[in-house]
Amino acid sequence: VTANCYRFAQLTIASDFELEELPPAPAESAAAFSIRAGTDRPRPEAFHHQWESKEGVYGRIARTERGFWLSFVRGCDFAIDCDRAEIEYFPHALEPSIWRHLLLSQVVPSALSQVGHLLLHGGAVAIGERAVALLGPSGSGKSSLSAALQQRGHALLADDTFLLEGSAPPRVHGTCPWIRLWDDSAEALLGLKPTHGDDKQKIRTVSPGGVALGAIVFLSQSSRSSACRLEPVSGSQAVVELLRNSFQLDGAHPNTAENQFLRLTALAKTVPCHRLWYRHSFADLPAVCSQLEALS
Amino acid sequence: MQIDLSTRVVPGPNVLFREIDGEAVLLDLRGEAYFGLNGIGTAIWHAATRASSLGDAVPSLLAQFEVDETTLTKDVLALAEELVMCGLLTVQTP
Repeated sequence: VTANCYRFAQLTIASDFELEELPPAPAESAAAFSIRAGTDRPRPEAFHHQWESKEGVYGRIARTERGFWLSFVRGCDFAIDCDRAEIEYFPHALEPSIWRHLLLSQVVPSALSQVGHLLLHGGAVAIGERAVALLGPSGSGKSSLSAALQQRGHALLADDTFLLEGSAPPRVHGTCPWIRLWDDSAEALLGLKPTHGDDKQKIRTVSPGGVALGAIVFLSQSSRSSACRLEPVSGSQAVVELLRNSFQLDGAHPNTAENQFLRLTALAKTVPCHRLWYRHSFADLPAVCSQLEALS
Repeated sequence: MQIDLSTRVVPGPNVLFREIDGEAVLLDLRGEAYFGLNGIGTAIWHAATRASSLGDAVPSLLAQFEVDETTLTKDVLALAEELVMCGLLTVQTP
């Protein structure tokens, strides 16, 4: 039974439980995916891909008869059936927020990518009338930089994941209306009290959607003491970085992989791409923000 | 695999190639890996995959770049060997 409809980027997803993290969508809108409690747990023979963080492997993907099986060490397993546009969840964590975060930050974006939508892992901020996308690996400072730009009056479009709609230029739609910050960033940038938890603080935001993408910035940490540096990235290097920051369930699937490859190549051709070298220091953030503001 | 100037290479069967501003990106669907080629690498890719042998690719590249034949030949063989090892190029036997 599916009764709840929510907005995810400019799409609708339906769920058999309440997802208070997301804004509601009109009940009559067609759902891109439906989420429901799993019944038959698939038994995949082998995993073909795994996600790793500094702490090690945290999730794995396997192909199944009906789609994909995503197994996360902490939290939950998910079955994705792309033909039926269904996601089934099989939680094994006591804390629902853990697997709900995995659902919204990894599983739904991956499922949408598999059916042809283009989603990137990264933040985005509207500077002037154009969106600037901030891409980089975990820990590269996307959220802190996004929060610093937001504090300077720019609208936050996305903290973790965004969907690109159309082309020339594509429009940015953030998937989830929140920003997640570690205690030190939340305190230094937003003046919030530390929670002393072992996870990031989740702060709700109101994000406009549909802002034209004006620039893509790949974040890299600099060990130099000099000020930050913004430099253009060549087209081929940009495509490689975009592939690295895209969602992909099956990179060996000819149609899906080729479609995504072609779209990312077109994106690198139409949107200026830069690399930002900067030190991770709150004191340097104003200068970094000024460099990004000059892009608009 | 031994690569020399008589070797003929063709793109791997599962490789997507896309050129962008004179550079190229290769996506290997089988290995789910991606590679970037700079401008010179892209020119070598084109010449090598169109010629009947790696040796035949050298003259057209000599016309494009200010480089001596010995250095260029060494670069062509080195890149071809690396791309064959990665599965991006396949050696075509006569």
